[in-house]
Amino acid sequence: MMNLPNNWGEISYEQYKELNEIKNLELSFTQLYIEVLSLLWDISPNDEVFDMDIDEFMDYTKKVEWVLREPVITKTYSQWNGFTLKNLNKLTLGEFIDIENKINDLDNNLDWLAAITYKKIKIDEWGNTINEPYIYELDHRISLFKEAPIPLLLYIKKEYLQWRGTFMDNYKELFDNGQPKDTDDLDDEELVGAEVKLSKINNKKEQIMVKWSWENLLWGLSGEDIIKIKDIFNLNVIYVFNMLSMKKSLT
Amino acid sequence: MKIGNYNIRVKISELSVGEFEDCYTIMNNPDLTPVEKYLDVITYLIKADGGDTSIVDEMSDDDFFKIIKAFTKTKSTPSFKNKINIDGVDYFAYPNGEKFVLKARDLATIEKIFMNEKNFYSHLLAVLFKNGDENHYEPNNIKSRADKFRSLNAADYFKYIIIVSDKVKVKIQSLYDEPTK
Repeated sequence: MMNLPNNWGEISYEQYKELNEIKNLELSFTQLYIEVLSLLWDISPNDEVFDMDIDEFMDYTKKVEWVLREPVITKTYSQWNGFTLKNLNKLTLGEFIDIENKINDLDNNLDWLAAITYKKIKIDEWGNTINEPYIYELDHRISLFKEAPIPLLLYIKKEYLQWRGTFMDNYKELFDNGQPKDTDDLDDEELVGAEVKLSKINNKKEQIMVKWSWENLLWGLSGEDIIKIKDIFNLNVIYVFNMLSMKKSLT
Repeated sequence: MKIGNYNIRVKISELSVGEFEDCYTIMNNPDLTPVEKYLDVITYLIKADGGDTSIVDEMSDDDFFKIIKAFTKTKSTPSFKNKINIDGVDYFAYPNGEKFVLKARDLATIEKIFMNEKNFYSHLLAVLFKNGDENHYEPNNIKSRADKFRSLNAADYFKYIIIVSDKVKVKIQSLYDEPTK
């Protein structure tokens, strides 16, 4: 019998992403498991291996049906391979923005998320934990976390989304949850002539504003001084949003 | 079988694969009432034999229910031939002297057919019976073989339908029976 993984620790992140793609395909039972087994065995779905008897095939499907379920994370992964999970309340604005840039496709960027949130640490002369500054080569760090176990990557995803939910809730007045209208959604029967043209121009402006929203925030915080943006990146994200909340309240 | 004034084929061994599929399609038409379904099947079979279908309109209810009873009660013994010969070409479901083994790749193709194709019987045979063609699973090749296989006797290969259906049922049941990790 050919070997199969027994737990998520034996599945690579690349395999995990491909499994998610397979799950989203509309396949029949047998086709689905042929795709899963060919992924886990690193063979083609057309390989002669799948000329096996259906009873033998069913034995294999029973051994791997667990990979089609989302893993249950029961363990915490505060440390891995010399890296320590940073207290998320201490994320800098730059780290937060970089994570947010991938938030809509997080399952395909869990290595990115881990590379930003797990840090090397040291203890200073007063016994305080110091996180490494966010100046390391991110691509290299991502390549390390591609090898991290799936449970760790899903753990940090769960932790981050939980933290993010609370963060967004605390500062909801600062986030515009509305999406700009797509021009196709405009009811041209209600708007005529110049109104249609103006509406489309404004909608385009709004789309541009959404696209550049983080950069726009940084530009505003730096007082339109590009030299200062780097310093702003290193400010604590909660501090920044507290200041923005205060400013919004006062104005 | 002669029932009243009607000569009707009621046994599966009297039908071709194609006729069986057409009757099956009629019987599974959700837009017809049960009586309409049987009337349409009877009409279809009379027409296939070159008979006058207008006699169906004059059928007594007594003859009608005798025919339905004959459809449902007449027993056939499906056979289990391992070879099909059509147009001088031999196709085998399994080698002589060996047992039939339903293969995973065959079942995957059959499942796809089952979802999209009403002529399931002929297409199932087109998947299971092979002649060594390396492009056996190409959809166009399957369709071409299925069209040829519609002329085969429906009883000769019906056991393959039973075996595949049973395997699928067992497979689904095993998913419910197995404890999950």
